[in-house]
Amino acid sequence: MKKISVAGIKENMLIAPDIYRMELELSEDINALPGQFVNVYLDDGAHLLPRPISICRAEDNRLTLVYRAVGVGTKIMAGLTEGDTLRVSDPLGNGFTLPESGTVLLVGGGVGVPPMLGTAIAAKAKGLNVIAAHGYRSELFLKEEFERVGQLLIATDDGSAGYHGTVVELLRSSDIPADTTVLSCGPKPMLKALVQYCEEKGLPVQVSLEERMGCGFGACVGCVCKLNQNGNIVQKRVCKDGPVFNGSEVIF
Amino acid sequence: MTKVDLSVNFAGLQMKNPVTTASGTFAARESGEFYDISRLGAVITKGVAAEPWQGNPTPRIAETYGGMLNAVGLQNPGAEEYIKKELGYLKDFDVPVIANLAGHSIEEYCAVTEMLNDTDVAMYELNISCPNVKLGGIGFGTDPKMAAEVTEAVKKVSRKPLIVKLTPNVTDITAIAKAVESAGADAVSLINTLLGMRIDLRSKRPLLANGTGGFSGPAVKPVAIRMVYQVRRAISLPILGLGGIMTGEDAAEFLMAGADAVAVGTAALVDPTAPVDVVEGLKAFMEREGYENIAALKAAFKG
Repeated sequence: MKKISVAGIKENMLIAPDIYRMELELSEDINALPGQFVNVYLDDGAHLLPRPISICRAEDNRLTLVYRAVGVGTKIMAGLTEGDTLRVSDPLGNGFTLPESGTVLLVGGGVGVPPMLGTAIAAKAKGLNVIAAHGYRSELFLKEEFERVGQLLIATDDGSAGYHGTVVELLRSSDIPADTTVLSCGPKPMLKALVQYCEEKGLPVQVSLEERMGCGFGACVGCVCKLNQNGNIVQKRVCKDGPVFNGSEVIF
Repeated sequence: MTKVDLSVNFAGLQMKNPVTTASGTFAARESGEFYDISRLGAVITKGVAAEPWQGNPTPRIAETYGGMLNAVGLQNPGAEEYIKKELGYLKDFDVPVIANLAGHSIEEYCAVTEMLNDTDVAMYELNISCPNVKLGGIGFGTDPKMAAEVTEAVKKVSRKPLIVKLTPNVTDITAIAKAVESAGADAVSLINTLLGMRIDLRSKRPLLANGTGGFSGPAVKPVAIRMVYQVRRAISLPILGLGGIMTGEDAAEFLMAGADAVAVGTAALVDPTAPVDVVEGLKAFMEREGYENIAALKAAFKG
């Protein structure tokens, strides 16, 4: 059975403006697929809904979440410190499907960057060639962690680091091998532009979508997206059927 | 410690405990990943119509203090798919299924009823109170005459006991309760969600794509308790009480107010195991307080 467990906070650190890295320790090992997420429960009686947060890394019983403190819930999370506890669900949703061979291009935008780290580590362990391409507003985060795993391309909106412009523009001016599978998480406009780029290049692309969720495990049907599957328009739950979908099917 | 018997007979349905799931918050496979569904008194499945419904655009969910708004709009795969997938899956569990029925018109309500008559469904819950569906839905639930009309029509074609789910978005809920009782309902359930709204101050637009949505969660419990209490005094039909139940004590409060069974809704979205936690909490409460059965707990109310 799936469950919700109490996790101890080992660290909760500001690593870029509004971006926090939280290290959690659970009593049991976590078996997460790259691209899955966990529900974080605030348990304060007022903010009831779980916060779905992508898994940055999961190793043994350690869970790393990197999140942006943007709304009331994530701001409450940002206020927690070492020694505090949080309830978190088992990993939820479907993750990325790694190819059997070749290159994976991991494209992250903003807080879409963190889940790509666990994906990069899993891809490298599988013997794949790893290229990461990330788009940031300004300040970078998780840069060293990605550089340890593979090649890293960077784009910033303000040009403060790397390519001045969007990450998809950066890709257009880069050499991407023909054996590449593209895996991505980020804001919708970025994903839309990326899917178009991949279609032009003939590269398979999987995208991780975001939507305002209720339960996070597929019961409430709050977070649907539309897919075009061979001409049939179908609605899928982002939390349960996704969050990762075949990019060429997503109707943005 | 008192030995407790949690079983109830709800409008002819024998339940091992009085706890069921509020429609729209339970999905057999998904909820069943977190707990053994057979531990519940019954399950009420998501609203189902004769044909598939697309529901509303997203965002469909917004949080509020102690609650949430939803405007899912009864997205459902239609009765045929529901019978195959949801009922097919629930067959393997020792739990009665109550099907929540949706429609835009009397004809549509009757159509889905007839499609489910030959299934293992134990009971129907007629959803004439969804605030997110304009045609049908709440339109039937806010007018005593229309509520009676649809109840009577469905009752005529139904071969299973019929619960009618009432909306709190009316001046006098007892008038609707009386109307559906006269029209032949076997039970009532209340409350459906309260109509609510939130605005995003950054975009200056409603948080929900639908504009308004159904407000649920612990914040609405006092309204639900008051309405169960009022309806209990107005009609003699069994009442399924719901609205903000988070704990066994919350369930006990509904039973004292006049409910004969209860449903757990929003709590199960917050915490998937909430329905079975409520069963255990209610049992512990009754053991502690010395109530041997649900009838004794209900009879203890002094209001």
